[in-house]
Amino acid sequence: MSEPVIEVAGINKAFSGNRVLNNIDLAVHSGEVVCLCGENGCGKSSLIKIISGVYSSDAGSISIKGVNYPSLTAPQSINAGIQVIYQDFSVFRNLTVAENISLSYRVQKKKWFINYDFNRALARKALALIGANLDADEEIERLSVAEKQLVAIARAIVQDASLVIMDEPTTAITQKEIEKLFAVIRGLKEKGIAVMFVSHKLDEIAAICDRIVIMRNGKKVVDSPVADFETERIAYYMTGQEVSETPFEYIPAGGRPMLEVENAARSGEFESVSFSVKPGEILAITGQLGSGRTELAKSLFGLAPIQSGKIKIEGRETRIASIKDAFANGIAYLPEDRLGEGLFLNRSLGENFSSAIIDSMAGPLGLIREKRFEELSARWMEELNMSRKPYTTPASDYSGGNQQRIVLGKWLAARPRIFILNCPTVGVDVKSKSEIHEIMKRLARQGLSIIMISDDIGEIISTSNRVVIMNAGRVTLEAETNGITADEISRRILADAPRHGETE
Amino acid sequence: MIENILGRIKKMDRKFTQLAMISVFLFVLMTALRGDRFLRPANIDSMLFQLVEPGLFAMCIAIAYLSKGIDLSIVTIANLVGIVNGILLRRTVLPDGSNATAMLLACLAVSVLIGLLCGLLNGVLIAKVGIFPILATLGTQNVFMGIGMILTRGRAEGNFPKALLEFGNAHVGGVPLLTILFLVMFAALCAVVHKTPYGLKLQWMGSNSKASWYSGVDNVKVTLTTYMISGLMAGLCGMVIMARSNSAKADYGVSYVFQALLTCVLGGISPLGGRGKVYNVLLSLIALQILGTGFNMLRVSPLIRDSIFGFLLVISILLDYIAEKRRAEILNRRAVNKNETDPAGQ
Repeated sequence: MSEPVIEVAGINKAFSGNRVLNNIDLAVHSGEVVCLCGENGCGKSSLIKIISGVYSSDAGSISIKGVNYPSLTAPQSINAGIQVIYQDFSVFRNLTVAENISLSYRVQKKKWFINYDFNRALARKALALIGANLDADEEIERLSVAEKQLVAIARAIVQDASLVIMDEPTTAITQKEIEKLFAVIRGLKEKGIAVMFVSHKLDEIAAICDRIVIMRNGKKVVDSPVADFETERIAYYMTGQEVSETPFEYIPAGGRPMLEVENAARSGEFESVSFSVKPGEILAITGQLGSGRTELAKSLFGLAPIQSGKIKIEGRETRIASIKDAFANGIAYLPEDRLGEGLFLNRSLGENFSSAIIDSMAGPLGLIREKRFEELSARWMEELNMSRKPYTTPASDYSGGNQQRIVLGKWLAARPRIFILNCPTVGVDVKSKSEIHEIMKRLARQGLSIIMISDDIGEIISTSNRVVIMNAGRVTLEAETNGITADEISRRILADAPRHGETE
Repeated sequence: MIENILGRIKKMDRKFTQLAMISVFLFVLMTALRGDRFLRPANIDSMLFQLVEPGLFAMCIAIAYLSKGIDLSIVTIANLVGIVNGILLRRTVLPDGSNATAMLLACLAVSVLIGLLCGLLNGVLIAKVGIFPILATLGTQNVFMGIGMILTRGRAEGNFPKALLEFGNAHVGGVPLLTILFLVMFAALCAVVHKTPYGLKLQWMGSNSKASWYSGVDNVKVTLTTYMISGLMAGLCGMVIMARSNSAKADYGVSYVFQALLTCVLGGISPLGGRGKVYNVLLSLIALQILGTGFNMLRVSPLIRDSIFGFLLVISILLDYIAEKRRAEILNRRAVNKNETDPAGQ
């Protein structure tokens, strides 16, 4: 085989004490189409950012076309021929097609002046090369999503790309446009350009990729030619179910539902969403990125209130227009981005655990009683199976799984009746993951109503008793978990639903 | 036993030990160089007096910094308070001064009111409108100064009642009364920041405003409260300036802002928000006071003195950033090592 376009070895990376990449070795050869798969938070984005010089790795080596780069920077990576097309394409909306395509070229070649004729010629050539039929003088704003993508690809080509990395290029475009994109990728392949393609869709992987690389919890777990790989096993490799968990058994207790959502809608995000949760239930809500699941969860927490429909709590219609309302109604929300939205990294354990109930920590003079911090921390460290540390320890001293528990504890300390967890185990190691699942099950048995947003089908099956699948803002399926298989869920999640653009 | 105590202090707060050592070192140095003049009671007394104004302003900056903001308008708030009070006193105090005490109490109320209102304006611009604190308070700084200028036509208000000047020079047990009052306020601020729910919310917001919002902290309210406290302290400082200098002027003491920033950064209150202990500000205040007096006694040119203070600010901010970066690196390295030696984590 030819010399690799890029070869990385022993790549390690950690953020705020959480390891996201663990000794990654990877080589991509010219003319190869490699599929990179993995769940949210498995480290694939970090790997891409290291290859493109956006992040620097903590350890490991990177060589591009045989040249070693001890500390790769983004300009170096671009000059060496690595191009990344991000999910948002990073195009300049206020510029024309020609300007967008030629801009980075000019930067790269250190041109001082702009020659519009040259821009146009360059853009036309690049667009012709990938067989795209676009007007070079059109403004980007007027283009469709798929057309913007073509512009981004053309821009990559004019910069002498030898490896084009595409981050989930097919999530936002229609089936027809996907076909076109694949034709473009095949064209690139013929020109000897390597393509790294991030996707989870089995049919796409089989159709276009030569090799499949699967990552899980920051490690590379599969690196195999697609021909030798049983694509059905992709879900197994992505989620990794070495730890067998006892499925959650919901014992119907009768009584009225804790939370009822009727015909809830927010324009452009979700519509006619109805479901209910009883005390002691764990309801899973799943769907692709952009299916409206996160937006729905946030509305229930008052972050972006619903615009029509009803929310009933214990049968009473309730308006939840702010976090304050959610608090008053006993609704807690565990954000997906626990570092960014849930945790005060440099603050103590005691403060973190008490942050949702801080006003109740003060004594008669309005001064906080340290003793209460200590008691609260001791209690939740115990309850959440955390190793005992003094309550003054900063949260940054804990690992990812334990940080997730700290955020859990902070909400549990507020004694919620409804607990919404957004991807509670993303980026958490397998052991902590199953422990978090156990905690959730225990809480449900104690009568808490739990709504869990998750992409992880294994997690949905083992921890929830009911699942709601959303697609393009609508609920497409609601079912008892024990009556549905993983394949069925996966098929329903990925099913082509009418897209917003087409229904409007 | 001494080692035991030192060990405990060190464990408690490294910044505290550093600052205490610097202060002691500077004190000893000055005693060695100019002990005869430095240790003279009159000098000590004037140093204690001089602590008050920069100290109050540093308290304002400290809480603004903790909220990840800044308040550049504090000195002009103080000046505005002085001017309004000056006009009030000029028009109401009888020639025989018989109602001076009552009017001074009214002035105190006016100071509090103006301080709170100015702070509220800052808070609204920052929290409700969403203007960057540095821009918002730079703007209001000029607004407050402008109002002061218009009220006085650029001249100074002065000749305040004797009662005020006596209050300003009063001593209790040999210590200036103003210094004592300042220390009481300082202790109160320490308690508010580090011991009350508001104080913790303030620091959480400064360290991660998104997480504080998700935790149910009303960031708008916290920001408003913060700038109102800052305005309040600045307003009271306006009274102090009146009592100490017997005058009020729209553009008095603008360099105090810089001094307050320097005091806070040296005291370990990070401009990056949410990090630092307020009590350390007192130590850095003392250290800078000794340094300033020292420069005076050693006849260091004011030009050189200002540039040295400038260097100090840049260097301490630089050190703050480097320390922050190192902390993150150490954490990451620890995570990588931990995973390697801990197969159970997989």
